[in-house]
Amino acid sequence: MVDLNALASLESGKLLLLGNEAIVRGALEAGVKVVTAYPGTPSSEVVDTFYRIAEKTGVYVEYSVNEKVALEVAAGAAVSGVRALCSMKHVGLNVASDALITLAYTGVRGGFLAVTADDPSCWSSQNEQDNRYYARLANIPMFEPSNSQEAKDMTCSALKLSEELELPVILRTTTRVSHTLAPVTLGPLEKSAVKGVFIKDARRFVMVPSNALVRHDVLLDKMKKAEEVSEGSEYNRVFGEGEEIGVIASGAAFNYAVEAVDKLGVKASILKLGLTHPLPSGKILNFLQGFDKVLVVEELEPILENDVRSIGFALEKRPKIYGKLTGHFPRSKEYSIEVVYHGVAASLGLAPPLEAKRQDSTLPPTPPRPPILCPGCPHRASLYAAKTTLGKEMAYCTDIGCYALGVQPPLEVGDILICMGASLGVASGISHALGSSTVAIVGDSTFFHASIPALINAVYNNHRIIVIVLDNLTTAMTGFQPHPGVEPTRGHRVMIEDVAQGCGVKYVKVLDPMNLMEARKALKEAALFEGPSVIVMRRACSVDERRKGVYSPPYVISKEKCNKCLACVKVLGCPAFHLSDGELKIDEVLCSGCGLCVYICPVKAVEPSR
Amino acid sequence: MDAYNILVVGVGGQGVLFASEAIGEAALESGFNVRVAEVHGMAQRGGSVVCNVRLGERVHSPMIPEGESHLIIALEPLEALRYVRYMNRETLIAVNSNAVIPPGLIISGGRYPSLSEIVKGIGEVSKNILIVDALSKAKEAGSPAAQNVVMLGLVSASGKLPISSEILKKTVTQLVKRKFQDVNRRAFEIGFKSYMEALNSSSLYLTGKL
Repeated sequence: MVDLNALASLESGKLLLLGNEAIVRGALEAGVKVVTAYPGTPSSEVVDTFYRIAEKTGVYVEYSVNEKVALEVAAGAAVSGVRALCSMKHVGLNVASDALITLAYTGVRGGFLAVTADDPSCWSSQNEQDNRYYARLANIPMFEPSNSQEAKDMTCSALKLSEELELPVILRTTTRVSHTLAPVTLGPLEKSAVKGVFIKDARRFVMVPSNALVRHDVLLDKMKKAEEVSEGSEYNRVFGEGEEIGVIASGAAFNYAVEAVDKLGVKASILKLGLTHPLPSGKILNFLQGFDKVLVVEELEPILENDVRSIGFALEKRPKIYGKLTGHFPRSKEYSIEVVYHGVAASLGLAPPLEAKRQDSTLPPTPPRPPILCPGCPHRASLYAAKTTLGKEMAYCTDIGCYALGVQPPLEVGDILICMGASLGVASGISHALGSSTVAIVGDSTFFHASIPALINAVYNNHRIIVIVLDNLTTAMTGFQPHPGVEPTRGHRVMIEDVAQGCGVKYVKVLDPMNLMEARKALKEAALFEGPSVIVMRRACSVDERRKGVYSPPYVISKEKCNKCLACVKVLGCPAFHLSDGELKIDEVLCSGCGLCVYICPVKAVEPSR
Repeated sequence: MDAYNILVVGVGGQGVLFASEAIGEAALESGFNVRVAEVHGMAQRGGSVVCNVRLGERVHSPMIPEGESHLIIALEPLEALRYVRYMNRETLIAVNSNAVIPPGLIISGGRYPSLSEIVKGIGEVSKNILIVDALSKAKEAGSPAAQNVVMLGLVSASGKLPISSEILKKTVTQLVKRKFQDVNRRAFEIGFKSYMEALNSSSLYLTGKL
């Protein structure tokens, strides 16, 4: 991990930073004072890093309950003249978009930056949406870095441009920028206002229709100024002087384009776009004039390509534009040098580069190694209890978090998963359609994030949903961030069971899923209950416990008693078990001592190690 | 210099990210431009993890093209096999012989290939394979968790890494908490010393020489 002291206080020099850490540094250089976020891969290190240096830097850092709230809190600071940043993963902006799009109308007074991290190839996401559309939808500026240095520089520039134009700005990264370590040359740290002042101006900030209509025109005027900035920006410039082909690229795709033309030995000029909304139409038009063939290299949607085509339409002698629309590049999954290399070669009419053919026939098959629930994960016990009590036929609506891994064998609990908090609403619909109880499985952080309105809806409409809240006292999947259900450093803890009761749920139980008897009893009662029920299965995340230094002694298998029926592995799929040379063992390092397997073993062969 | 490409592979929790970051930091200290592409999120939960590390002036993309790894550090044998498409005839492949069997395989009744099958398969691409039991070496150093650092010591001793062993060892030690520094320094040194041993034992599987 990066030297936080250096990150927070050096005024010059060089550090090896993740794109996400570089964003933190850029924001500090721009004097950011309020940072909010809801964690999500690949964005989480932005807020996590800020959280660790909050005290030292005097920046207010908040893990908000969801992205919309995060954006609203940051917006509140920014309209009061305090520089603010909010961060989220790509799908998080869907949640926050309602606030963002109208914030573009009111504008801000201090710099406001929304960081959104896209995830081409779905490394850890439910879709691969292209958030460049949001800059166009909200009509606000967008920056797209292609490495850590640019992530730092652009964050700083974006916050300043935001303040100058009084407009919210988006910084859009992708996984290969967010999660790549690269050297960053540091700049000076700017001082800015910590305390703001809210100057009332109802016509600007109260978006009733008559005011909103006026502000829409103000926004359009601001974007005209932004286009001038884009035309003159150093982030939009030409690399190389090759005349064979013109390449227009942005974000991570730029890196692949540079290497691909280098590898092919093609004489190319590359127009790199970093301030990608509004586009520098003049610069693009000028660039197009020099070539017969222009290649647009961008991941995901053909947004730039369509824009370049429409800009180029003004030319009398138009170059041929190659990209996704001509079938030279794919529209899904992240790019690689190979993909770009093939695209460049094909559009130049070069023979497709020879693939190194390899005789793989004698290679042994490579079994897959999917991510699974960790050793000692309390969700394993919860999901096991649910499946064995409520049965395999029950519809299990699951949600976003570690427990989604429960869909893997052997547990296979999870029949539908859409987005944060959707389990309750979807379960309500399924239950209505089937006329019987349906299960919604939701994590603690996800419960606070987006489940409460659906819970209220279920109470009001008497949907028969059994809501199992898997409360492991942290936001485990994204890296152990806090949420309102854990002991706070400021404010007060919010109990899930109190929320459920407050929403009007008449059957609420809290239990430890390791107590299988109690869990089964509650699940049976809930299944018979007419109306929504909530069972909070509460036990700390086993990995988080270890991080905090809490160790339980591991279990061992009695060689004499074990008959190698493998029930423990086949039922629970705990990774601490392994079979070597025909002998079943428990890995002493991996075993967290949860003892769930003790219940499962039919011959009582699992014993405490001491 | 053109990019020097290192692929670090293993299972979530084995310290793939740490090993990659250590090489990255040591490369920066040695004056290289560097890119380290990490895998976060789901892949940390016992899944297959891969990190791309690239050093050199002409490094733009963080991703190594297929067939272009100069060095592969595999913290687990099956994971070495999984990334065979990144290897070529010259690639140095360092493999920790300690297998981590996916639970899914026990459930499905599938077979985990034997170490000799894996090595034979990889050996068809490159003969430059080093095999070491990093688990026992790490235990010798004081912690089974230090297998990744044993592997760093091992590849460092090969002289194929364009970073000096002193700088890499120093970086590894500096990156961990104070109370783990001694264990990791020892793990690096034991790994370093095991190079000759690995060279000899690996020749059991291979016909080629480094």
